[in-house]
Order: sequence, then structure tokens, then C-alpha cells
Amino acid sequence: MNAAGRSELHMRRALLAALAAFGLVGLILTQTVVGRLAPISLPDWYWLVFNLSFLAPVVAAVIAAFVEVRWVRRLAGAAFFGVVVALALLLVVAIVDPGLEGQVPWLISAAGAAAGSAVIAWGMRAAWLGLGVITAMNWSITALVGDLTPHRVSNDIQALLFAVVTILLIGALVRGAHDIDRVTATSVRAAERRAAAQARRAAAERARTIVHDDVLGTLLQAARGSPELDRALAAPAAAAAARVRALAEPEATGAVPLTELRRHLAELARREVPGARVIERIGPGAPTELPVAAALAIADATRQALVNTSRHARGAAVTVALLAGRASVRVMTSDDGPGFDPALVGPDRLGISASILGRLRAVPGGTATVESAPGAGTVVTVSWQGGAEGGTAATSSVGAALAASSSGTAAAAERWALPADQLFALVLLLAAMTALAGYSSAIVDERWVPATAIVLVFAGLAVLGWLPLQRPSLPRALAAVVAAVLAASLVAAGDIADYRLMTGWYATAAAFVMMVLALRSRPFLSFLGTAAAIAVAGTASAVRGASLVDIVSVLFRPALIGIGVTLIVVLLAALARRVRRMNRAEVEAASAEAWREAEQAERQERWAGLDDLVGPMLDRLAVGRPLNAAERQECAILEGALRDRYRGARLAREPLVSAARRARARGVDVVLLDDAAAEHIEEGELGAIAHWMAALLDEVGGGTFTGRILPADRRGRASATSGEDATLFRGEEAFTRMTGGS
Amino acid sequence: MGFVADTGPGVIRVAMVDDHALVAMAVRGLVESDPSLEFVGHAETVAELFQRVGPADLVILDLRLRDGSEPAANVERLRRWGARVLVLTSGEDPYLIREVSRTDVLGIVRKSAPPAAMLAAISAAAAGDSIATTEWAAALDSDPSIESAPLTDREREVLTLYASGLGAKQVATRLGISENTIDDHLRRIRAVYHSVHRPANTKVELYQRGVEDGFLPGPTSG
Repeated sequence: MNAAGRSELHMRRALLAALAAFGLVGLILTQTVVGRLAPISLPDWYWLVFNLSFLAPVVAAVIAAFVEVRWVRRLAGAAFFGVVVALALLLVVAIVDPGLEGQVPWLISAAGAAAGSAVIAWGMRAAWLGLGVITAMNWSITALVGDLTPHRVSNDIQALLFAVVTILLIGALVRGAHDIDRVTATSVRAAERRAAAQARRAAAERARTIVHDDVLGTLLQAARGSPELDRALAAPAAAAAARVRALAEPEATGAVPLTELRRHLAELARREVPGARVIERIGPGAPTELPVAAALAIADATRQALVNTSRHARGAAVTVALLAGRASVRVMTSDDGPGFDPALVGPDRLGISASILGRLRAVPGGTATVESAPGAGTVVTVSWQGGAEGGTAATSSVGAALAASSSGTAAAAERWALPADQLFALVLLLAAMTALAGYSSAIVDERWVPATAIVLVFAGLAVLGWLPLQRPSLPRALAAVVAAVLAASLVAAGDIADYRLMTGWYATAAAFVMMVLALRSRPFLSFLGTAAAIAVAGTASAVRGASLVDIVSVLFRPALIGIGVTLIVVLLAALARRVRRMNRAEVEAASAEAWREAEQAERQERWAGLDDLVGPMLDRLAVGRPLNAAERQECAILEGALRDRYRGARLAREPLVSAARRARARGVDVVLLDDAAAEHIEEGELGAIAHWMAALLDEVGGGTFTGRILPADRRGRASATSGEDATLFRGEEAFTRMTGGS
Repeated sequence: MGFVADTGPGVIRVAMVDDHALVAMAVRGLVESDPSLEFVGHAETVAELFQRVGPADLVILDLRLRDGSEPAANVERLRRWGARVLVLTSGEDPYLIREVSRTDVLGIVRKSAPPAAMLAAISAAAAGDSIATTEWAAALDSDPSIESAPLTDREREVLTLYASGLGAKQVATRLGISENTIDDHLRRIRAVYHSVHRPANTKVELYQRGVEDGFLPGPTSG
């Protein structure tokens, strides 16, 4: 399967399943405990609709496991409408039958699950709207059936709280999954580009070596030679022809030979830090080849290390050591420069984090370390171990996964939406809890109880801080747990006659603290804290004389929130790990494929053309028969044409190629130079330069002609010089004479 | 010069290191056409030259040898041996030209240059003169690291004109200055380019480099 949308699809499916599970637990609790308190008398058909509205998400979640994201969203939408329809019917029944009285079903508490479905189906804005509609219907029903009891009001506010948190959580998770997909897609494209560029460089370099060693020399000597020399040229010419043809043979493997990596690293060291020492130690059992992704990561990381060295440790003695041993390759780039204190350097600086450590750690079997100290130089070690299982351990935190994904560049533009939603939800949560506390204070005798509870809950949240998704330290996490457990245990502190009225909110609010803890990479503590809070609050309630039914009806929601959310967090973290592994494999496969394609393309464009260009002449030279004057001239022309391909690069195009051929036939020494290789120049402009240069070259009768694409930021784009005349190209129809003849 | 001439007075011994025997044969023909030069031998590697060929005043070195040796290291060995070095290039790799330009070479000449130009370069190198070629100038002029080098505008202009394919005379005419002044500019360009990648670990060393290269005024005496 393609990586596009994979995380998002998995996440939407998993969340829909989680909501269905919540609904199912709710249904069971309603049927066994809560619904039996003082149930409203409703027609049998309504109970059927009621049960169906809970079962529909379960069916939707099962189907969602087999369908594409579009249908997963539609199924989630259907689950949302199931709740809306059930509520609407209840509203109609309540309006039609004014005598209807009693407690309305647990359906109202299902607002959270419904709002969650809306997020999965349409996104957060639709979910807020949906929650508004559900809440309005819910409160209308409550008013119509005369259920505006303290217990009811408290219960509804808690349900609203739960729904707000659900929307926030699911919205963040879906967005995070979406970001992971975008980052993965970006990584795949980047990996493809890197692999392609490197494959082309490697292929071009190999061709260049052969061209230099064999072809250019042979042709030049043939051009300059004598009948005696021609015979001596036969053997080198035959060898050159064979090598040129061997280049065109396709390569069977997608892996990179170790020799290629060695050659490439030596080349890198030479280019990035001239004078760098290159050491190689190839031990027994060393691999003969590496996976493309590993070779690319090592090469890129080493390049980054060399770039850093030349930037920050200019003039230092630099050593690149390649150590290959039993199925492993290690490359150490060290310098004796000024060094730095890694503790004082942010992870985003020096290009270390993303370029070196990140690249290597993303490759199965890859590791990387950077060691440095002020005045003690820097050692960057990158290594790859063959046969390693997929990559490094992923973090156990969904929060960290979200944070990591949203740090991707693709997500940067949309990240701003999240804090606004979070702020809105936070304000709503705090307001709802304050309302509950105030309401409680107004109707109970022991006012210190709700006051203390809200202080404890706010203290627990404050201790965790509001820096989104950051893992709190252990002391902070423990302090939050203690505050939450104390707040929950307050359910049993007041007059036990009030027990069922509204005191349950302390425990629910405490469960929210636990939920925040779970989301902040502390699922284990959250689980223990919830269990402790339920145990303490339950025991205290029992000791104070509360009935079992009351205890369950007060504590089931906090238990559901604390333990359920913890489980979801753990399951989603496992899902995120799996998706990341799949995405890594995708990146690796894409690199390998891009490598193969680019190498093949390079071979077709350059190597196959090489045989076409020089093959016949090399075959002719291999015969060893003396050349005539025309053949000698042809050798000179071919030598020049070949040199143009490499040093002239983008100038080797028509009509300049033909003009150069004609000029060389006239005896002109033509030199074409592309000295802006790293700079992008539009095809149209390159064509204009070639036409302009070709016209000038056609006028040259002898001597030397130099055509050059100038480095960036010069007065002109290209120059053409012959004899005393130098002309500058500044764009089509606009060139200036630099010297002479004006 | 590292060796006492044992041929006629004023005759300069020229050797060649190139793994193409045919290139060596062609160069030999050119060298022998100048009576002030003597071709003393050819080797495929620098080590073989030391063992087999013996003393030479000027070594013509192929930029890229098949033994995998580094061009800069080859130049340094030859300089320690006491020979001047002129480098030949096939002309397709500016990186290698830059690398070898940071060493103590007299010049870098394209193998496919017209024979007369090649001989002029060999003769100049034999006399100890530096040679500025288009290939050399273009490789330096396009080196990103030269952008931060302390070159004057005039020196950059000289380098660019050379890189465009002009010779000393045309550059001098174009800029309205003497060929001697052009030589001064070229000397400083070489010195600056050497310093671009020279180790300078401390500020004191950096200052010393600056004084050596004439970028900074030296401590005044008295």
C-alpha cells in the first residue's frame, strides 16, 4: 500500500473502534446499573432505537476495518447521526407526551462518543457544531421531562466536559496522523531525490573515470599520432571499447557495493574538506554491499559532518575513517577544531540533529553519535549493522508522536489551528468545573468540600503545565496523581445523603487530570493513579455507607475516562510505531527504486551515448591500421566532443555541438566550460546561450575559442572568447563586448 | 633546484609521470624539439619515477593516475624530491584542478592544448615561471570558497578574464595595465588561493598567515 494517507486511515479506523467500545460499555452499564434507578417509561420501539444507536458504531467500526478512508468517514458520520436521531425521537416523544417523567437514558452521556464520531467524519468545527446541537436537544429533553435535578445537571455538565475532551483528543490525533502522512510523503520525495542525485553522481563519476583513463587519452594520441603510434594504439583502443560497452550493461542489484561507498566517501572528503585524511580498514566479514538507504544515509551524514567541520572548524585537521567489519560499516569523521559543548547546542542547530542523527536512526540498523567538547574537537560516528530489525524503538507516547509529526515542515502552516482549539477546550473545561464547584457549594452544607476539590484539580492540572504534549517530570507527575486521588476521595467527604446528587464530579474531574497525564507520555502512572483514585473513593464511600449502585453510578465515568483513555493511548502508540515502520520501509523502497531508475537513466543518457559517440572510432583504432588525415581529424573532434560533455555539461547541446564540430574540423581549439553547475538555468536560456555561442563560433577561423557559462552573480550569464575578442551574454539579444573589436 | 645538472650547461632535465605511454611519447617529442630541454624518462607512478628514472629538474605530472594516488600528494612528493612540477589534465574535472592548485605547482595545462601552447608552457615551467591557463583560472574562479577570499576587485577581474579564455596580453590591454602588473595579480591570486584552505587553528596563526601572504601589515620595527 502507498504511504499516502496510511497513518490517517489507520488512526480514523482505530478511533472509531475506540468510540464504539466506549458506547458498548455505556450501553451495558445503562442496562445493568444506571438505567434501573428510576427509568423513564418509554415505548418499546424507542428502546430498540436506543440500543441500535449504541450498536451502530460497533457495526461501523467493524466495516471500517475493510474500507478506504472516504467510507470510514461516512461510517463515522452515520454513527453520529444515529445518536442525533435517537435524541430527536426522544425529544418528539417528550413533546408529544407531556406526562412523561423520570430519568432520561444514558444516551445523553453518549454526547462525547457522538462528537468524537463527528470529528472523524468531518473534522473539529463540525464536531463543535454537532456537540452544540446534541447539548441543546439534551437539555430540552431534560427540561421537558422534569429531570432538572442537581444530579441531572451535574451529570450533563460532566458529559459536556467529556465530549469537549473527546473532540480535542480525537481532533489532535487525526491531525497528527495526517501530519505523519505528509511528513512521510515529503521524506519519500526527498529520499527519492537524494537517491537519484547520488546514483547519477556515482554513475557519472564511474563513466568519467573510464573516459579519462581510456577514451580521451586514446583519441588524443590518435589525433596527434603517427603511423607507428597507430599500431601501438590498437590494444588500448580495444580495451577502451570493451570498457565503454561494459558500462551499458544493466546492474542487477539495488544495493550499493561497499567499494562504491568507499569511493564516494573519499570523493566527498576531497570535495568538502580538501586535505582531509581518509583512512580505510576493511576487516574480515565486511559486507560487500549495503542497502541503498543505509549507504545514502551514511554518505549524507558524512557530508553534513564535513560541511559542519569546514564551517565551524576551519583549518582543523580532519580525518574520515571508514571501518568495515562483520556485517557492519562505520564511518568516523573527526576534527581537532574548537569543538563545542553538545549540552549547550540546541537540537535544531548545527545541522546535527536532523541531518546526521535523524537520518541514520531512521535506517534499520543505523546509529549515529556526535561527541564533542570545547577545545577537544568533534567526532561524528555513523554506522550501519546488517541484519538489524526495523529501526529504533519508537516512543511510547502518542503525544510525542504528535509533537514529532507536527514539527514536520509540511505541518507548520496548519499547526496554529491546534492551540486555538486547545485554548477553547481548556477554557470550556475550567469554566464547566468552576460551574460545578459553584453549583455544589450552593446546595451542600459542607462548602469546603467542593472548594477543596476544585483547588486540588486545578493544582493537579497546573503542576502538569499547559505546554502541549510535553512529558512531565516524575515528581510533577506524582504530585498531579496525589492531587487527583485526594480530589476523587472527596466524593465521600460530604453529607452522604447528598452523595448521588452531584458529588461525582470530583472523581470525574480527577480522571481528567489522569487523562492529561496519559496523553503526556505517562500512561502507566495514569493507569495506577486512576485505579488508586477509584479504590480510595470507592472504599471511602462504602465506609460512609453509600450503596453499591450509587458508588458505581458515581465512579463509572471517571473509571471509563482514566482507564479507557490510558488504554487508547497505549494502543495508539503501538499503532503509530507500526505505521512509522511501514513508512520507513516505504522510504527505503522508494530510495532503492529511485536509485535504480536514476542509474538506468544516467546510463541510457550518458553511457549508451558514449558508445554511440566513440565506439565506432575505437573499433577502428583497435584494428591497428594507420589512420588517414580525415580519421585523425575525426579523433580530435571526438576527443573535444567528449570533453565538452563533461566540462561543458549544459553547453553540450545543439546547435553548439555541431558548431564545435565544424570549428574543430577547421582546426580551432574549442574549450567549453559550464562553471555554474550548481545553479539552475532555464532550458530556454540555455538554448539561447547555445545559439548565441554557436553563431560566434562559426565566425572563428582558427586559434582558440572558449565558451563559458559564468558562475552565479556575475555581470553576464556566459562569455565567449576567441583571439582578442571576448563577448558577454547577458540574456537573449543583449550581450556586450568585454574587450577588443568595439 | 634539487640536483646538479650532469648534462650540458643550461640544459634542463624533464621527466614525465603518466600511465599512458603514448602521451609520454608525444610529450617527449615536444620536449626534444627544444634544445634547452632534455627528456630523461617516463614512469607510470611517482614511486616508479624515483626508483627507475632518476633526477629531473621538471616533472610533467598527469593529474589523475590510475594507481589511485592523490594529485596533491604526488605534487608534494615531487617537490620534496626537488623537482618543479607542471600538471597535465584531460580538462574534465575542475575539482581535481582546484585541489592541485593549492599545491606548489607551476601550472596546469590541458593535454589537448595545441602543441605550441603545450611546449610554451613546458619551456616556461622549465625556466621556473608560473603558467596561468584558462583551465586553471576557470577552476579557481568557479570555486565557491574563493568568494570569501580576500581578493581585490581588480584581482577578481583578472581571474575572470583569464577564465574566459583570454591571455596575459589581452587581459592587460583590456584593463589598461602592464603585463608585469598582471603577473603580480596572478601571484597574489595563487597565494590567496593557497591560504583559502590552509590550516589556521588560532587567531595568532591566522594573523601570521595574513602577514606571510601580505594581506596584513607586519609588526613595524622601531
